[in-house]
Amino acid sequence: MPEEDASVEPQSLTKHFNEALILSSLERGPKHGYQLALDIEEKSEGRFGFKHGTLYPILHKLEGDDLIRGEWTDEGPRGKRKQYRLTPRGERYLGTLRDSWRTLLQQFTNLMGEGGS
Amino acid sequence: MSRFAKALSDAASRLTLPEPVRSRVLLEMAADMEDLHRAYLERGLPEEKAREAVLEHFDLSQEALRELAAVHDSPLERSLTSLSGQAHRPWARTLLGLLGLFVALGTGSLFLEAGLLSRASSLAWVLLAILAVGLAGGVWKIRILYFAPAAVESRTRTGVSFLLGLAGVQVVLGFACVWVELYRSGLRIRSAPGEALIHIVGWMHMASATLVVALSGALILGFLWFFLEGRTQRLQAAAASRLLEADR
Repeated sequence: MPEEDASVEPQSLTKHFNEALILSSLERGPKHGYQLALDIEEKSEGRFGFKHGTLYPILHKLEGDDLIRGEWTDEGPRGKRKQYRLTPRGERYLGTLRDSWRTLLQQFTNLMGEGGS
Repeated sequence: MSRFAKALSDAASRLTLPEPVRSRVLLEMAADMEDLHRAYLERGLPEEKAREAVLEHFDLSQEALRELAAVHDSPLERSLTSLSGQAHRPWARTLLGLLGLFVALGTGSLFLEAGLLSRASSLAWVLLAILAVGLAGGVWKIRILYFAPAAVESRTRTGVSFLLGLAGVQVVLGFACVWVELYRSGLRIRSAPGEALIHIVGWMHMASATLVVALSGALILGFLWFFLEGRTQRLQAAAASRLLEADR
């Protein structure tokens, strides 16, 4: 269960990075799994590609933590589809992640700057 | 048949999850694969290239599937599912039923003996109360699983493991009673060392009577769990098949 005031530890950067990408994509609106992957790829201009093999465990964990909610919808001839949306708890957690990332990136930039001067 | 049937079937064989979770995960993957394929076609990729791109995108490696299984299932749940899944065939259930009957006949006469409870520790009444709670819960689950399964399809599993928990409590409490009574006998022997043998024999008698109550209760609840868990799995597998059928 994620703590809502959790800071981003360097050891868990990848995990938090993937979570932040997914949650911020869902903040822009509910999406199916494949739409999430495409949205992240498009918004990052191809820099951050998501393999679905990686995506599902993260999505299902976020769902288990009540940060996102998956709902099955019947889409007629296309059959059943699972759509994910952000929960209020997920919104708060995304806010925390955003602040942590800003701080982390600021510190990183400062460090990199020191090396150049 | 889905154009991704082979990849899905391969993932299904490597995905160790109980039903209907496993089928729901596969259904989600199948739907996303089809949608992603359509999205690639709309972007102008030819059919075969789009299919290859989807398969490349859905890199369902062993590690990813293991992570997915870990998210949904604890090791304890997995081992219990595998244990209760042993009696899928009717002959296996009949054999187990006969074994249960044999155990019940063997211990039943002891249970009905008027002196058993008076010889057992006074805590044996707590064990009987736990057994009664378990049996009442079991009857309630039988009513749901055998007479109204459709109404509670998604929640069939809820409450069944409670029986196994109670069986575990029976065993732990039974052995705890034995040790408490041993301590009490020790105190009596200390105050009257000349009657040590009488107290030791008395403790052994009480301990065995208490364990008969505890272990018989645990066995009854264990058998009940086994049958109800098996029934739950069959209902969930049927629900999963219906889910996949409905999607075709």
